[in-house]
Amino acid sequence: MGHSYFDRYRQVDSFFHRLDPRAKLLWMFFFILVVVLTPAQAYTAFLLYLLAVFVLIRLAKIPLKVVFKQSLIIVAMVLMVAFFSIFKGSLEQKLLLIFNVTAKAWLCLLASILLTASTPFELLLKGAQSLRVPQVLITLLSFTYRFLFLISEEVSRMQKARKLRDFGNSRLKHLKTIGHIAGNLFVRSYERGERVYQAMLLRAFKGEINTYSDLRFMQTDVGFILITTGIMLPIFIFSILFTTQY
Amino acid sequence: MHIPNGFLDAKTIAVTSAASAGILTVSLKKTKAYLEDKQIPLISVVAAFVFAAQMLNFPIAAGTSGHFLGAVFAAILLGPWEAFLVMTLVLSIQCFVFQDGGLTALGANIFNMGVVGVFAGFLIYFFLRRLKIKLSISAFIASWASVVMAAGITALELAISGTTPLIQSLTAMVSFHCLIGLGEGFITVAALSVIFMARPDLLKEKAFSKKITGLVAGLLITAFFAALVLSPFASSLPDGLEKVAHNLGFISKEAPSNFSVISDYQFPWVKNKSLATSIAAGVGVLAVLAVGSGFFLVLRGREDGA
Repeated sequence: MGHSYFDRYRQVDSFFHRLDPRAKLLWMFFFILVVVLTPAQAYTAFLLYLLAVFVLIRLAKIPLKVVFKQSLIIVAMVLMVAFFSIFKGSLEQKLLLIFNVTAKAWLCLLASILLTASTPFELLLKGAQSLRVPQVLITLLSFTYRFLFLISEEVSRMQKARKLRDFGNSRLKHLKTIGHIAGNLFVRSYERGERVYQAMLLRAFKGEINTYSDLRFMQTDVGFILITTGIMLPIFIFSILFTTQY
Repeated sequence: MHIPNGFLDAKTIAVTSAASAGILTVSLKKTKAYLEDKQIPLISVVAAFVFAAQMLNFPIAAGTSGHFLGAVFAAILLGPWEAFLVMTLVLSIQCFVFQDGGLTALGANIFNMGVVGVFAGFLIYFFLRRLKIKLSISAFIASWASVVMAAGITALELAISGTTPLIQSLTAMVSFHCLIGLGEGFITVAALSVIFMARPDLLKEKAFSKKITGLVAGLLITAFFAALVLSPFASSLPDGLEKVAHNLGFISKEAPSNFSVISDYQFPWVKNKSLATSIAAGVGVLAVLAVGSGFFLVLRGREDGA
């Protein structure tokens, strides 16, 4: 699960990839908010949202299969709700509840997979920065993202080593081994952090990273926002007005 | 334990996001001295560590497995405010990059694993240490409790949103995480023992003990959590029994669906108890928010004055 795996489709050239990250972020926030707030009984609305996401995924030239495969992570949570719905309400209500949760979670998942698959994380952060997310958080996030794959790889290596040597142990001993891995990993990570800090200090790091922001909000971005809002908002309003809420 | 989009209703989203955002603001302020010491890479690398350590799965009963959370572990090593920042970073990246947990539920997830997991867990650790209890035992109990409490609050949020029934999901989540918590406790203690040998300097008691303000914050949060867990639990117990009666065949179709955005309680005589619970929970949460923001203002005022 390396960096390259997540960056597979970020270099594709498409209309969606070229959009300003701020436009895409705003779109995703809006989309998710609207989907989450749509009443559960508005089946048509959910179908239309799905259609809208499909169109965008096609336009972004990202294979549907990949997005679907990645969206399967909600299965566990949906199953949990389905299990607990045994205790709740009539059959009709159960089905509606499961539909509600599945449709909303899945649609939002498709939207955010589309966003992250088509936008490098640095660009997202740059966009978030100009949308007034505090500078410290941006810097922290960008550093964390940098270290993430490095340290994950280290964990995989240590796990592999453990699997080769540690078998047939009792559960408690197994937990102890994992704990030692975690402790070792922490010391390694911490010392890496100290080293990186010292290295950055030598290169005149003052707690902030200043990069030249070349983001420009173009007419296509305005058009994209207007069109998507123009499609989503009426569906949302209709769904609220014309759905009988119990 | 990461809640996806669509599992929470509007009121739960609003309350948890507001609470998490408020505490994030405070913790950024609190760690400012630390961060301005240009230790940003250190916090980040620890966040990356927590993320990676969460890949460490361990088997529990019946073929399921749990994973390391690391909230109390980070709090013991870095201090609670820094650990909260670490958890926020981890959860945000899990949400934005790996789609683990929904955007609208990010506030709730930060609340469960960051606020409750770190602060409530660390508070327990802190008190046990004050009682002169051994570090390993304190760490074990605190990290066990942090996982259980985070799971409890998750179940509670799902139930308040009408996604899962309160009693059943709370029982299931809490009892399951009582087991996972044992794993968390053992791993935390074993990991701390490695650090004790390799870098004992990292294990000195954290600044939380010196600052009474931090203690007050922790107390408030724990009280908030206790009130949130206990009050709806107590008042909806008869409601749970009612539900059993419903399940046995008296189920009425007129029971309102409480998973639409704004629930219309057309039949208040059917569900008035859960309505009362919701209102009570809402009022309680608002009161806590008021207290919390008051605390924040006082804190800010003091820092400005100083």
